[in-house]
Amino acid sequence: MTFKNFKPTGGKLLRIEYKTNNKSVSEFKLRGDFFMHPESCLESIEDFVLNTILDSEFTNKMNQFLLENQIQIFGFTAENIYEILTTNQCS
Amino acid sequence: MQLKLINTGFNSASFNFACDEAILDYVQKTGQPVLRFYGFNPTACTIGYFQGMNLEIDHKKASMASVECVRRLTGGGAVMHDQNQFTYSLIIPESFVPKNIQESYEFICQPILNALSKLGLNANFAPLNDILLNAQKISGNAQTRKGGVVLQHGTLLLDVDVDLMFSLLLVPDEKMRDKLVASVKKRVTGINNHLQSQIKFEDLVSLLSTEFADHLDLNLESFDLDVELMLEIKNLQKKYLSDEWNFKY
Repeated sequence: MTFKNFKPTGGKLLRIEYKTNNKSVSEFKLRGDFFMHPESCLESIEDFVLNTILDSEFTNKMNQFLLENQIQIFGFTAENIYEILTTNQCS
Repeated sequence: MQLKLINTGFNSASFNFACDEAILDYVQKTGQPVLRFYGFNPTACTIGYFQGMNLEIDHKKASMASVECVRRLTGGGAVMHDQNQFTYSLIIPESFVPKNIQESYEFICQPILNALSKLGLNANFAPLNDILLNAQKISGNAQTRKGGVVLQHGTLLLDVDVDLMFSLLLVPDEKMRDKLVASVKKRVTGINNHLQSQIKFEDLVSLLSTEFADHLDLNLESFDLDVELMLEIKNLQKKYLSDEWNFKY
């Protein structure tokens, strides 16, 4: 498992624990001081990430998922999640 | 229409959040907006809904110091609550506030800005959820929406002891602790630092309740916790004291 702290510019501190294998995510826990409405959707976002290939379509698919499920997030974006899972960035 | 007003005084964190949730249920059932003022005693640490207790708070140290550690219903960051803070909860049907969440934060914070202005303090709202005075944070706010009702609670700092705060809060990088504490000292302030004399809790209740009522165009009406609500609070308090809730993530 990899643990990263990541604070997007102007966003909230994300504390993510994950495990990736090539382009799939086998473990993913999303924690932090962000806001999400409704709050009960955290697990569904974690499930979405676990079931989605990490390719160039990931961000679009996640944004679509958020839109379809009427989930609003303040403090990070789908782009941030993709960046965390696919690069060594930690800020 | 009435804005029901209640001052529950100083209580434990588990009581305070159980009280918020019980009133949230009440507003869902009745459609009657409620404004509550309260404080924390004993000192407590709270974490945002999406935070991990083990990542944010030295809960063993907190336990030894009899500091209650509780997860909130709302998002946001870890906060240490002591007796130098003034806290409000506005629990109101969604139809009273902007649908857009960002706009609703600003809308609900406006009466706090108005009250500070009456004290001669020219504060400003800083998206998403803060109020700043001379570019220093003086108030943090957090919101949840459930069953057509908005619950926004927030803390107005009267005095700040950053060293005490960081004695129990963990930091992402321990090597950077001193730098972080110094940075927070520069970025946070309490309103008593900017007033000629210390403001009393009751004076803030009076000032803010008037400002909230004017802003919402509602008439204030006193509200008490009846037996039914007290029973619900006692029941919900068990949740806020449980590891199942507090260590959920």
